[in-house]
Amino acid sequence: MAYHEVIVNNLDRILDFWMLLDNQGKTILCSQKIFRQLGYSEEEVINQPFQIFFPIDDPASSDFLYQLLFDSYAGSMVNQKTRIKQKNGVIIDIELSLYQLDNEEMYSLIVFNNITEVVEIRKKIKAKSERLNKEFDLFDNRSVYSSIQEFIDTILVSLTAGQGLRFNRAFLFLVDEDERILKGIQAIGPGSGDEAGVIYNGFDSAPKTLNEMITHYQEMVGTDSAVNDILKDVQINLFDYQNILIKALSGQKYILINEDYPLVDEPSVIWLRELLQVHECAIIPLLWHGRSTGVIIVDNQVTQSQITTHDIKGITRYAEIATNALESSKLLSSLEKNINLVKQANLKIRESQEILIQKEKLAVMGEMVAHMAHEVRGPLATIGGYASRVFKQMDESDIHHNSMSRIVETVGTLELVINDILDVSLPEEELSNGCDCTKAINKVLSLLEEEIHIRKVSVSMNIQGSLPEINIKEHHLFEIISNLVRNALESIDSDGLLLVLASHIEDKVVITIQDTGPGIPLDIKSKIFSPFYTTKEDGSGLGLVVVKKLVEENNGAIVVRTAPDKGATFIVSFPINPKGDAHDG
Amino acid sequence: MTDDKKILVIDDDVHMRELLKLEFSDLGYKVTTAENAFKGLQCLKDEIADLVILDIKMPGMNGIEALEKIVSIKRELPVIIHSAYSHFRENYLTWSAVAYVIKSGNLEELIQTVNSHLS
Repeated sequence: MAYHEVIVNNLDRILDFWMLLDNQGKTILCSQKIFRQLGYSEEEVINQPFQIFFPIDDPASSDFLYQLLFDSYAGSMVNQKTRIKQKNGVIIDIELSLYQLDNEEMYSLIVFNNITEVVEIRKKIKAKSERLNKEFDLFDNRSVYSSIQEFIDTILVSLTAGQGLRFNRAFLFLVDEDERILKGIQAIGPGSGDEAGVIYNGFDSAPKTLNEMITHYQEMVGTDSAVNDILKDVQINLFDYQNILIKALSGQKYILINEDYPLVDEPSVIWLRELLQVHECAIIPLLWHGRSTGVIIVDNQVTQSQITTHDIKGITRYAEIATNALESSKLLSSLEKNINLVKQANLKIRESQEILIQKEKLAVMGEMVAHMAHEVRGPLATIGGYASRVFKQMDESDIHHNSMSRIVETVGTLELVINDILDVSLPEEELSNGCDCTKAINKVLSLLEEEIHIRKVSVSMNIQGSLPEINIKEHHLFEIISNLVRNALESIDSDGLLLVLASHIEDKVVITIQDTGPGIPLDIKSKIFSPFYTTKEDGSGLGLVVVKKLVEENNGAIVVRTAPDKGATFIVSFPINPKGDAHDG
Repeated sequence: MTDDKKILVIDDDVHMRELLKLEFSDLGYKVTTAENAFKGLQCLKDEIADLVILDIKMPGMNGIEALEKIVSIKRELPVIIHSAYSHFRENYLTWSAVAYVIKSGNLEELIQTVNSHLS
């Protein structure tokens, strides 16, 4: 019997509150705590049913135990939450377990503990989260397209503000997936105790809503420079699994670093404590759809108050909301960027369509005029030709001499009229001058980019700054450079060097296009500018003819220098536009 | 000086053909005419010409196509484009001709161009 007494006498040390009930549901034995902490006397409890603990107005109280027994499995029912009243009337939350003891007498053991505080904390956290959630309701109160920066401000302010989670400082690190690093992004908090006063007073006095707090914060961002300096240069390789931040990130679980943390001697823990100048801090990973997107570090460096599990629960819950918002906003902003790109592209297409339509109209008109001119000019030439012929052979004394002269003269006038009409129909652009070489060269190279890439040709470009404009139609210059560059690429075939130079020499702009191809054999060098001469299988033989004609038409000159196996160099020069001013830069 | 020089005129306009034949014969050239490009190319194969005056707009084969064929057969033979169109001068396909003369009642430009290439 002694060991029975040992167990009963020591039950108080093992269990919180306990009661042994007989088969009538009346209390036979109970823990001392029931008298001491709930305030009941022995007479009030012993031989009384468990129901005496329930508040009078609780409708569930009468058959609570029967219900539990009914729901129990193999005679036990654990962790049922309910509420009982203390002697003084105060209601407390308890978590209760009921065990039916396997005995003829049908004893029951009830064990419970007071969870009022826990319930309170949970309620508080829930209320706080809901409030933050509401004020932080990104998709109702704030623009969907708010910048990511705004969200970061919001998150950090919520973590530190008096109305928020009340940490002294918060540091945000985000994963940069492209560079495979965890990067310090932004911090909030005082650099010193003095600053702490300024910031916290600011937060606690006037602002009531989160938006007001953020505005207040953004106004004082300057004072945060010290704390931001701390994490400005922090970049940690994502594969550095020894690092405490990466551990929190990859473990997807918070880490509380304080005197109880088992790995305080780890180099990265020492590093972090030195970096933040703090003994205690908590690292909370940010998770989004199972993916770790960053970490938040919070501490109470100024007030030195301990970080409690209550704090951790709050921030973990908050981190979820924050990460959702942040990631959604990232997605939205990249979506917005893409939408803008599409919009811009659309606009460009529409613009070029309009230009095309305009050009087409001009072209149709030009064609019509040219056709009409042809139809009139042909017969006119015949009339004029025969008339002149007759007129030339006519003696001045002939009576028709004057009439013939009038015919010849009138035909000449008509021809001039036709020429005038043709000139007018030329689009304005055709007559423009003042052309930028740099632009033309860049345009050619960007259009041939794919071919350059396929042929594995390295391009070396050296264009002198502030090249003066030259007097040539832009599409002519483009045609010249494009032909020469294409020839060079084709002669290189693959794996070679293309050199494009442009410089201002005396009163000329000189463009040099050089390749490392096989060069031009001397016996055909003189023929390369002849029409239909080609060494290419599918060449028309007109490329260099076009180049030469265009260069000469625009008062330029073209020279070719070549030697077998030493490549070819084409040098084109144009007089500079006397009226044109040099470009800046 | 021009006695043994032969000119081939290819033009579908009979009046123009006749006019040029009269004018250049007067200047001492031997003139052959063809009413289209096919006949013109045949003439070039059958007999030797020293210069070709070539119209552009002709039924069947136009002057530009004909020009390419002529240059590929006889690279050294000078061809003068003689057309009522002025804008084909911008077309580089016509640039292998030695000259481009727009048809006019005043034949002076054409005569001078022919003379300069046959002297």
